This record gives sequence, structure tokens and C-alpha cells, in this order.
Amino acid sequence: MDWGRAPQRVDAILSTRRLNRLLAHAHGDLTATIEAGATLAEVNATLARRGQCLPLDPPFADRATIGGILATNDSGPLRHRFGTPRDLVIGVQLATTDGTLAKAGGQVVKNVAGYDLSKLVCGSFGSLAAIVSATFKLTPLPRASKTIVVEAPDVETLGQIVRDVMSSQLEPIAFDIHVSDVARLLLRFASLPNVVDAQIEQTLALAALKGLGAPKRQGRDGGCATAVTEDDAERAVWEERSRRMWDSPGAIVRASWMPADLPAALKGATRVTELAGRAAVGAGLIRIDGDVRTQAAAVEQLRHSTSFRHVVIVRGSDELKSIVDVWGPLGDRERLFASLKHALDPNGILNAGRGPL
Amino acid sequence: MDPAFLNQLQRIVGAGGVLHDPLDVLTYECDGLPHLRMSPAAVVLPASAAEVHDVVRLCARARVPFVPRGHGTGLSGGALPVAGGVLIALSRLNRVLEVDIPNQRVTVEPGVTNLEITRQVAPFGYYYAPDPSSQQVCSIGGNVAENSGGAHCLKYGFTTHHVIGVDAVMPDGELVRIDGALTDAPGPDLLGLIVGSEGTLAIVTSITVRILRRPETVQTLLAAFDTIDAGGAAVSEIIGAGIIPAAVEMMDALAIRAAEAAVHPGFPETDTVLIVELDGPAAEVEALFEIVKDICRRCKATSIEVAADEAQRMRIWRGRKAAFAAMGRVSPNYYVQDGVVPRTKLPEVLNRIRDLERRSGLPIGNVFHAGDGNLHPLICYDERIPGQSDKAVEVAAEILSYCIDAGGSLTGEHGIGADKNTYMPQMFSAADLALMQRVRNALDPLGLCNPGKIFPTPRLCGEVPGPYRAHPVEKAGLAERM
Amino acid sequence: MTDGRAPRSADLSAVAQSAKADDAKGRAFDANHPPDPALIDKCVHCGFCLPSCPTYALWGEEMDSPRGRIYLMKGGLDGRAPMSAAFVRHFDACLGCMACVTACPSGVQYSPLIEATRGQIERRYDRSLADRVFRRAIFAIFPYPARMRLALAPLVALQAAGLPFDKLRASRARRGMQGPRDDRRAALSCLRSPAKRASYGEARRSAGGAEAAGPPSADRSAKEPVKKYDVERRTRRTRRKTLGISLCGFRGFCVVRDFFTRSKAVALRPKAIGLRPPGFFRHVRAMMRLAPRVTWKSLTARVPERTPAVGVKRMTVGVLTGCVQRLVFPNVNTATINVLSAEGCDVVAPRDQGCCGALSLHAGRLEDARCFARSTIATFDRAGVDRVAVNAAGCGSSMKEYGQLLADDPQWAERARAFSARVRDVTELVIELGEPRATRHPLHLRVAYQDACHLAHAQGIRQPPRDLLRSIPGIELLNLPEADMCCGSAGIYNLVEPDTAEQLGDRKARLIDSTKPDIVSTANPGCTLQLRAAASRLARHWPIRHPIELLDASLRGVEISDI
Repeated sequence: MDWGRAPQRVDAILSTRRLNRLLAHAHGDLTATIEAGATLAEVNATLARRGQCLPLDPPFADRATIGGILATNDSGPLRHRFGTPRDLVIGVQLATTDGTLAKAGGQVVKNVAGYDLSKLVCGSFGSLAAIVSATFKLTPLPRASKTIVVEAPDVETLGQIVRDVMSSQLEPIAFDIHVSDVARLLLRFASLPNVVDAQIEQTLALAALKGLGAPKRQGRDGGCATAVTEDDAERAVWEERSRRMWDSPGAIVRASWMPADLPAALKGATRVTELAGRAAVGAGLIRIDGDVRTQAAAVEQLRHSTSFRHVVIVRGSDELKSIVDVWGPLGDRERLFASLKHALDPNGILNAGRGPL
Repeated sequence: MDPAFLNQLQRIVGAGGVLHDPLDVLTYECDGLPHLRMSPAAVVLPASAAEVHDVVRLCARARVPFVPRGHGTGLSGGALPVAGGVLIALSRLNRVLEVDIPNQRVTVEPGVTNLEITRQVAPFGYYYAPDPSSQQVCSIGGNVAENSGGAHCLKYGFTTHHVIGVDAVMPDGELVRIDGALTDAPGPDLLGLIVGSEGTLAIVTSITVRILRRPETVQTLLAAFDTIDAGGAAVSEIIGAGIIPAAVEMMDALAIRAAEAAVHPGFPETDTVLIVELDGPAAEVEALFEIVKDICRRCKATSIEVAADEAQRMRIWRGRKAAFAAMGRVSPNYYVQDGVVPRTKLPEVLNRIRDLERRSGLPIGNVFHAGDGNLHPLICYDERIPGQSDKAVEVAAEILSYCIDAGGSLTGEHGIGADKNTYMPQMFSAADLALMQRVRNALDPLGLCNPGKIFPTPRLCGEVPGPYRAHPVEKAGLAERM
Repeated sequence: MTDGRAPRSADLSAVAQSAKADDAKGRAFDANHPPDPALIDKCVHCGFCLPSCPTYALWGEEMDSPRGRIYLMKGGLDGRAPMSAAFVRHFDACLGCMACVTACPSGVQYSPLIEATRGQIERRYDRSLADRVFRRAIFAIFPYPARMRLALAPLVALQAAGLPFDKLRASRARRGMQGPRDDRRAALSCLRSPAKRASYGEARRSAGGAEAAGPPSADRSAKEPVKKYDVERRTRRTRRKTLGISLCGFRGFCVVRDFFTRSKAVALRPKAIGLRPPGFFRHVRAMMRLAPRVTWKSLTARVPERTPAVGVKRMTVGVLTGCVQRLVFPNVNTATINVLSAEGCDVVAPRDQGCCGALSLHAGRLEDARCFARSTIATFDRAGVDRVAVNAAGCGSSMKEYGQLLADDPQWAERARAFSARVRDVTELVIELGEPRATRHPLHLRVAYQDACHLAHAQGIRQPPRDLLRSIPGIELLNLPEADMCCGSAGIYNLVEPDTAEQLGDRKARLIDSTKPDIVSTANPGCTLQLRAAASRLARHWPIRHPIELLDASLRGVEISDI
């Protein structure tokens, strides 16, 4: 409920919490139909019994509902391999403002019949229709998984490592960077055990990583340049990374950048306290510390820089939201959004005023 | 067509860019689905995005319907012209605008062929993943319209997963940039709506796609089976074992015969062949490949051939990709369908199709993406034999109803187009279709952009969908189709 | 949409009227060998042929693509497409390169379809006077070496007089970037033709003689004029001055040249084929630009009728010496004979051979083609050969089609089929002979091999010329982008459709140039002329040689500079 602008007027809150069933899990077909109110953690716990999962990992999986994840199109490190919710959703059932239930897409992984409205509602923040349930394609749980954490001496070296990994044959399932006072890179490999080891070896052999010191296994970053983790330690590393930014103070914005140009981009963004995101996709979260004025100035700076685009405030005080627009310029698309909103919610009763529509 | 309007078109694209001679427009009356035909009033060949923009604006002002077309290889009549309308052929918008290797992005105009992107980036070790069988000729603009798939989409996803931005001319003639090289534009996923909208919501004039690094290793095997059940079981087991191959393709005896006649890929003479391709890190591919071979053996494969080198691999794929068009070698006419069923229902539906084949007397070949349950039944018929083309339509309709029964879809990659719009009510309720219509009306209130596609429309009295056949009025000599 | 044919009333008089209207417009085809509907029905409209078609690549128009042309033929048969100027232009624009045949998965035989359509057009369509005159002239001259020799004679005189023909050809490129060295050299050698001819004879005798190990003498004698080059040039310059052509003659020449070779502004928009065929002067200009370098020596060069095999004989091979080949590229014939005899073949080049009929066949003059075919079959049957080797791709492809061409002729059908079965392209034959016998000396060259369409697409021969080139040590074979696309030569296409041909030639030359070759190799005389003209427009001067010439050079062990 933090996201978006302050609502103009709230007459009723439609909670989907009781729509929390896993309607169908066609494990042979690797698909599942889930009601909107189920949390991601509940769903994945059920799917894991069949050795499968919905490969999404936005922050706070224990609280995030399927409908909410879809409506915000939120994702986490696994986006590197599996994409965002819009890439995984194959069908959706919607409650529209004229009081009907309508569906789009289907139950099969490949389907181009009709408009793909399940994608349209991704990122709509509930302002076009209410999501009742959605069907996703799933993925088998990997047999082994390891993560390598690399600490780079500076942002330039980090950029070089990112470029090297991108142009290499490595196939990580997550490829994150985390820049605050230290520049870190996290690579997660998941496959057969020997394959994971081979990929880790290949990573360590990358030219840019050489000279950063020998790996220390099972370590927790403690002072060494690279560390390889697995099992619980691995989970803890990712958990910590995902919480860290949200546990720290300040405003948080979503932004995207050109992956290969990150070091240059960071140099221009002097007011950024912390940046975490998907290295090869070029998208993630940025935390800005300081008082509201500083935060507002930082957001404006990011919006005006040529390196960052689509800067959206996802956590900020009401005061900040009143100084700078939450969504930023929508460009040419604004007009199209207006037509769509008018067609699907002519009276503007859904999520009034919170945007982006 | 109004000469003043033609003049205005010519002023935009030059005299060489407008075709209105009946002889010239004759060749544009159908796309890759030649059964559906309609001559447009004029064909416009713009050479730049600005010209597309101007042409669409002119059409919108004059209330003239228009249909976008790439290289005319679509299999659902998606580029079927509208009577009295303008066909906007994008074949001259064929420039590669930007190749950005470090950021793994390529921007092209819509008339560039799918394979051309791979050609451009291959020297750097990259490729563009979606690979429809017609990739050497189909245009990226068309791929965007249809959300094209291909054999390798099982692991890598479809066009919609690889397009990250487009410039689109909206039906009112406004040029809009929808996302772009940078991801995560806030707001509803308009791009996801436009990709796969079959040219009914916008005409794209530039497209930015992601390119992928060539995998370290690719291994391909060709397994022969005596029954389609055995082949289907192998597919289910492979997926069930948690393996997502780059591609899993199946062909039946008739399709094997056609492919063999066309490109001599050296397929065994058998009931069913399964092509399984794995790619990725060498160690992974090696280990999984052994598991796949074991599964094939367990499912009673009569032979398993592993492509020894790139040449042999290409030969196998040539056989697979030529299979559609090669049906021309074994049958005077054929009708391709494109239904989807859940993977686990494959054997059941295939057996129903075999039954139908016996009952109808029309040979039905099957070439399909088994990994994602996308069937391509090829219904063979001879239009010179009275009644056969009608029968082919009935058979196709019945196969599609099997797919819907099994919880599948009418189309996996060819699109609904003008071919299957009358079947849409089988898959979607009136409320579902009404919601889609509202979205369409929001973006194209005048209904000028590729009308008559996707949504069921009342046809001429006495007209049924499917292959071309003379309308009763034509048969009576009362009218002539232009 | 509305040309008055859409709604038709059922009453009889109206039907009759509209039938009449159809007739007045002229139905596209009559009953005399129209394109075969069964072949047309094979086309499933998949479009796989589009990217392979040169005219589609240039203009992106469906009517000028194989699929569109087949659709027009179908329209012609249905009565929906009349034999109009537009109809004819779309078929005139087809190069007949057959790249679409290679691309087609359905196995549509485009070749008989386009030949039948062209046959109908030639019989039933009235071309403009200029067009008729020009085409008739081509078919009255090209297939007859004697007439061709006569026609080329003035060119020899002009070139001998030192007119800078290269410049004329390169008028669109920056002038003066190339040395007309080769031309001068050719012009020079004609001055000393008797001696030269004698040395040629010698060369062949020695090559055909018992030993083939040492480098034959042809190249040794070829080296001589180079030494004399400077002296001779000075003399000729003086002579030109005294003749007084240096001033007024050259000015006048420039005016005339500019008239013929005036370059047009480069159009940004792809310019499709115009409705009107090119005018007479455009044709002449095209001819001037393509004009080969000829000398008395080349015009009068003759290869020996019989050349014995070196070592144990493998077979007897007849050589088609070609019409253009023997006059313009006599070295290719010499090289063919040298290589075949060195590889153990008795080589026969019948003196009385004429044209094979390829030009006529590919232009739809089927009756002419049949006459030429019969006489060619008769000539080689008399010579009693096991194989007929052809070093011009266009000729080879038509000779392999004799069986089909004469299928309706009961007297000749069987004989033609048997003959066609014996025809081989020379590169194909060399590979077929098996283990090489003669020693291949290294040639350190980057070679760009351009497939001749009538070799690659019409005959399906892609590998043999490449294998042949790879068998030469030191040769690096380059991969050409768009290797499957026609260079624009296409028989007489670059004469009758010069604009399109030049667009394609320029495109091809740029692509070849991107590979930075030392030498370009192609197996058809038309392609050689076309590529040379296109290269000089681009101010590039890679030598262009037939693969067999390179093999011959390797067998003789000559210096690279002498190839």
C-alpha cells in the first residue's frame, strides 16, 4: 500500500486475502492456476512438493500476494533467468468494473489466441480491473545451487566483471550487483551438482576476477574478495541482500539503466546511497538517504541524467511524494493509458488517483 | 478508389510507392494462407517510419481501413487485405538501425527478416532466439504482430519475451514509443498487449530486441518410434524429469516423407521421429543428454541418432523446418492448423486425430512442437475433387475442438487472423471477447486498423471460414471475386 | 477494384460482352504451351523464395518476386491478368537466376514456368520498335561467333587506338583511380598478333604433348610484352598526337561518352522497374559500359581441334568453346583444354560447333533454341565423346535441359536425353575425374568465388568449383555475403534491363569488396563482364578469373602477378 501516489478517495478496500487457493497444479504440464490472494511463499511451498516452483522472488515473499506481484510486475534476482511476472503469466481471470468476470490467455504455455490481457494488467497497479486468479508456467526446482559473491575494489572493476560475465558462456540463474560502500556482485548457478561446480570454476577463471584473491568457501564475505556459498548459507546471503535495502532508512526508487554503462552512470549519480539490481537486465532499486529535500533532488537528478530511465518512487514519505511525482514522465504512452483507463474503468473507481493511470 | 486519395498517398510515398493497377494489387490479395483472398484498393510501400506515420494519418482522416503486411508469410490470413482498403506493405523498411553488442540489444525496422538479426550478430557470438520455421523470410514486424514462436521457444520464450521496445504508429496516426532499450517503464505492459495483437492495435516501425549469447554446446538427437504414443510418452518423461530442452519436435510418417522428398535430411522411415535439442554449458548438456537418451530407449525408440557435427544438426533442422512447405510435394493442397494442448494430453489428442483421419479419409500429417504441446496438423486435400476442401475445413474445425476440449488453445503461434476468428467463441465467452473488444476500441475507436481479424465478425451470408471456394453468388455467375 | 468487371449480370449478352472485353484486353496466354497449371499448383505461397530473389531484394514488391510472378501466371491462366505492358514488365524484370528454385521447399520448377511465359510473351506481345530492334540484334549477333567477331572488330580498333575504355566504363566512379594497364597491354598484343598467335599454338602443342611437368610456354611468351610496355606506349602516344586525335578527338569522345554514361543522382528510395522498358540509347550505353576488352588475337584465337591426354587416357571429352567465351575469354578455353589433357583426357573441340542456344532458350525463343540444340547434339555426337565439358554456366545449364527442350520431337527426344546426361560443367568434370594427376603448385591468393546462378541454382553445382579451388595449395577461399544472389548479368539481362542490372552489380561489387579479395573467380563469361563493369564503377580492380584458369595457372606454376 506504500506504492503509488496517495489515493484521492477510498470508499472501499477490496481484499483478496481469502482468495488464496492454488486452484490447479498441472505438474506434468508445469503450470499452475492460483488465486490472487495467495502469498508467493504459500504457493511455492505447495509447488515444492512436486519439485517445482514459480520462479519469482520479489522482496517479502511471505507477504506478497500473487495478485499484488502481478499488478506491480515485481521481481527479484531470479529475473535474470526467468523474467518478470509478465514473462511467466499465461492466463488471467479479471473482475471488471461493469461487474463481469472475464478471462484472457489460457492454461497452456504457448497460446496467441486473442489479446494478451494478462500482460496488460502487469504493472497496472489494479487500476484497470481486479485480478481474481492467474495461471503461470512453472519451472523444476534445481538439483544443486551455489552462489558466488565477489567483492570488487571499485565500481569500474565491477563494471568490467559484469561485461565479462555477460559476454561469457556462463549461464547463471541470478546475476546481481549491489553497490553501496562496497561494490558486490552475486552470481547464482543452479543445475546438476557437477555443472554448478564447473560454472563456478569458470567464473573464477574470468580475467577480471583474477588477482582478486583465492576463493574462501562457505565464508560470509568476511574480508575476502570472493566467497562461494550453498544451502542455508546461500539462502541467507540472498535473504540478507533482499532485506538489506528495505531495512535501511531513506527513499527507494525503481530505475533502469544500460547494463554495460553502469560505472559511467553511477559516476553521474552522486546522491545515490545504495544500488541493487539485475546486472545484465539493467534494472533494480536505488536507495537515497538524507532529508526529504536531498531525496527529491536525487530523484530529479536521476530523472534528468541520460543514464537512468523510468525512475519510480516505491518507498517515500508523503512529503517526498508531494514534492516530486511518484511515477515520473510516462512519455507518449500517457495518452494510450488514458484511453485504456477510460475504456475499462470509465468512472475511475479503481485505485483512484494512485496512478500510474 | 478515390483518385484524390491516391494522389495524396503518392505525395507521401512517391509514385513508385503506391500500387493500384489491378494487376499489381492482384499479387497482394493473400499472404501465406492463399485460400483467403481479397484485393486491396491500393498497396502502399512506405520507405520510412515517417511515411508510415503519414499514410496512417491520411487513412484515419479519410476513414479508409488499412492492413499492415510484412513479407506475407503469415498462416492465419493476418495480412488479408480489406476490400476498398489500403494495404501497407513494410517490405522496404528493412534497415538494421542499431547493433549494441555490449548491452545485447538490436534495433531494426519491421521489414528486416528474423534470420537477418542473427546474421548481424553471429560474428560476435550472439543470436536472436525466436526461430519460426519461416525465419529466413518472415519479417520481425510480422513476428511482433503474431507473437511468433518457433522450435526453440520451449526454453527461451516467444517474441514477446525478446522484444523490449517498439515505436508504433497508432491507428489515429500518432507515433508512440512504447518502452525501448531500457526496461521497466512504469504502467501497464502495453508492449505485452501490442505483441501478438495481430496488427489490430498498431503498426510498429522500429523494434528493439534482446539477443542471446550462443550457448557453449548444442547437442541434437533424432529418435525414431513405432507409435506416436511412445514418442509422446518420451516427451512427457523428459519434461517430467525436470529437463527443459532447447527444443522438442515431433514429426509423423507423412511429414517425414514430405521433408525427405524436399531436402533429404536423412530421416528414418518410421511412424514418428522426435528431435530433441539440448543447449547450454557443456557439462550440463552432456549429463542431461544421457538422461534423454535413456528415456528414449526406455520408451522403446527404434533408433537414436546423435548429430555428430554442425552439418548434420543443420540437416536435421532443415528437414524439420521445410516440412510445412514440403507438403506441396505429397499433396496438391494442404491446410495447416495450429492448435495447442497441454503436453500431458498429447497422446490422447493425437490418437483422436488419427481416428479422425481414418473417418474422414483425408491424410493428416503432423509436425509439431511437442515440448509445448503445439500441434500443426497438416490436412491434405485436393481442391479439384469436389467437396474435399469443405471436408478439410470440417476436419480442421474438429481438431481445434479436440484442442479446446483438452484445455488447450486455438493457436500457439500462427495467430487467429481471418482464418479462425469464427472459432473464438469456442475458447472465449462473450464476456471475455467483450473485454478484448473494449481494449481494442480504446486504441482503435474507428476500427480501421486491420479490421475483420481476431474477433468473430458476421460474414457474407452463406460464407463459411476456411479455404477459398466460390461463394454461391459467384457459382451462379452473379458476381466475380476481384 | 472497379474496372467494370465486378458485378456481372447473369444474362447472356452481358456475359458475351465481358468475354469480348477479355479478348480485347488480350488474355495473357493462348493454348500453345502456356505455363503448366500443374507446376503452378505446386506453389503453396509460403514465400520462402522472397529473400533469394534479386528484384525483391531491390524493390520489396510482391509482383517482382517469384511468388508474385507465379501468382501472375496463375492470374494469366484464370483470365484475371491480361497480357498488358505491366504484366510483361514483371516478367522482363526476372533475371531467371533460379535462386528461387534452390530456396523452394515445395519443389516448384520455376524454370519451365518462366520459359513458357516468356515464350508466350515473345509470340503474343508487341514490344516497342526500339525494344524489338535491340532484341533482334542481340539474337542475330550473339549466337553466331562469326557475326559477333565482326561486331566486336570496331571495338578492337577503338581500343587499339588507345581510347580509355576503362574510364568510359568507370564514369560513375572517380576517374583516374585505375591504370588502364591491362587494356593497353591487350591493345599492345594485338599489334603483334601474328607472333602471338604462333606462340599460342606452340603453347598448346607443348601442353598437349607428352610432358606436362614443366610450366608450359604460354605464360613465358605472355611475359614478353610487359617488358616492351613502356617503349610501345611512348610510340603509340606519339602516333596519336600526330594523328591529331589527342585534342579534338578526345574532347569529342568525352562529349559522346558523357552522353552515354551520364550518371543519375542516386535514388534514396528503392526504384522499382518502370512501366516502360529502357530506351534504345540506354541499351547502347549499357553495352558500352559492359564492353569487353578484345584484341585481334582474342577474336581470332583458335584452340586445337584435338589435344591428346597426358599419360594414360581416362576418357574423351568434348569442349564447348562458346560464343562469347571463345572471342572474349579465349584463355578460359585454353585453360580448360590444358587442365583436361593434363588430367588424362583426350580433348576434342569440334571446329564446326555453333551456339548451344542458351540465350534463346532463356529468353523464350524456344524454336531458335531447338535448332541450336539439334545442331550442337549432332556436332558432339559426330565427335564421339564420353563427356561434354562446358566452361560457361549458362551454356551448361541449357545443354542439360536439351532433354526437356526436345521432348516433343520424336526424332530427337531420346538422343537429346542421352546427350544431356553426358554434359558436365568443367569444374564438375575435374572433380568427377577423381584423384588429381598433375601437380598443383601453390598460389597464395585470397579468392572470392561468386556462384554463377546457372551453375549454382540451375545446375546445383556449388561444391565442385570450391573443391577445385581448394585443391590448389595456398588459396584462401572467402565467404561472400549474399553468395546466392545474382550479380545482375543473367544472360542478356544486363543489356535489356541495364538499370536493374547495375543496381545488382553495384550491390554485389560492394559485398565482394567487403571481403578484400586478391582475385575474384566466377565460372561464367557474362558474370565476369558484369562484375568487371561493376567493380570499375566502384573503382576496384580485382582480376576476375574462371576457376579453371586458376587451376591451369597452378598446374603451370606461374607467378601470381601473371595470372
